Amino acid sequence: MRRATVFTVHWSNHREVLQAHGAVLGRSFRYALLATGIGLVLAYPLALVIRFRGGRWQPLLIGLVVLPSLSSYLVRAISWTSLLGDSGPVLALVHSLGLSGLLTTLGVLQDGRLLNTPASVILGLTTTLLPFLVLPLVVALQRIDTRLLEAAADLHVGPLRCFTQVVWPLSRPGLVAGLLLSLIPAAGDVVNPQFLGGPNQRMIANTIENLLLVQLQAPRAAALTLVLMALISLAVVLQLRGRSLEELPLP
Amino acid sequence: MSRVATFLLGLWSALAYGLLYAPIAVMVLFSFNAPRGRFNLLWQGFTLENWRHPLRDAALTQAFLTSLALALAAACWRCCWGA
Repeated sequence: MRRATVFTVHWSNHREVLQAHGAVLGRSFRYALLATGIGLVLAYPLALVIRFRGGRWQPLLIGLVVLPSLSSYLVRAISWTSLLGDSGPVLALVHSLGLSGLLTTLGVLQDGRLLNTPASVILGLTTTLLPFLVLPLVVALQRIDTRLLEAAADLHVGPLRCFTQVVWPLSRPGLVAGLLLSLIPAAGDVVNPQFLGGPNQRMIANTIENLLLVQLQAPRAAALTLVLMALISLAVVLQLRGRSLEELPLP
Repeated sequence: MSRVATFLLGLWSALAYGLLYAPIAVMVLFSFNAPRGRFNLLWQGFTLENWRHPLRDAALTQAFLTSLALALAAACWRCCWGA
């Protein structure tokens, strides 16, 4: 019997995948947002140091931020499993510092484990996307005219007000670009949830992979991919609304 | 900025660099591991054996050369056409 590929249009696929995988979709965006938030808390002071305290070491410091990304991120995720594992050094340090009670209440430790928890997946995501947050921020901070800071000092503005009224507003294009460059890859990440998370920390890309390669349900995988793309496009449009691409310091 | 603020910023940056380089350090460290069995996940002993003949495995060497050739071709393409 000759088999032909027949295309019939079913919108029901999209409704079904949203119902079946809505929870995973929500978890993906939650993890991506958390990782980006933690990444920003790490990246902003680092960008400030590179811009204002870097001096002649500035190129070296920027290079050191980019250098880890040149190694395979698969290998880096596997290295994290070694560090965070049950007999790994991080867990031993936590126990010797007596932090296990605190971290359990915070939800970082689950059943005395670090690996296969949401925290380990978010840690993996944060470290992979950190360079993409730092670079646009450094570029945005470089664009700040030092004469503006001198003018602020001439007007007897304290360092805190100088930051809130001069540096922070002028660094916002860098923040937007960094959010854009880190949220999108983080929401669609496959490797970190696969190696650092358990079955309850799977993200949407793992589900798509599973649908396509294990369950052999290509239409549903395609529908889920389309839903993910639509949501990410919506997020990008919301972030870029009222801005031109030229003003963003995309590296 | 005060000395304290500069110090705290430096400490925070060191933490960020530490998070970036922790997996790389593990990777380098475990290249000197002497694993018993097939997995290289637990530290079992120091050895230089893995570094003595880095090109001994023919399949790995071939894959490495393919990667180099592809990277070179892609770099040339980008230099000429920029896309």
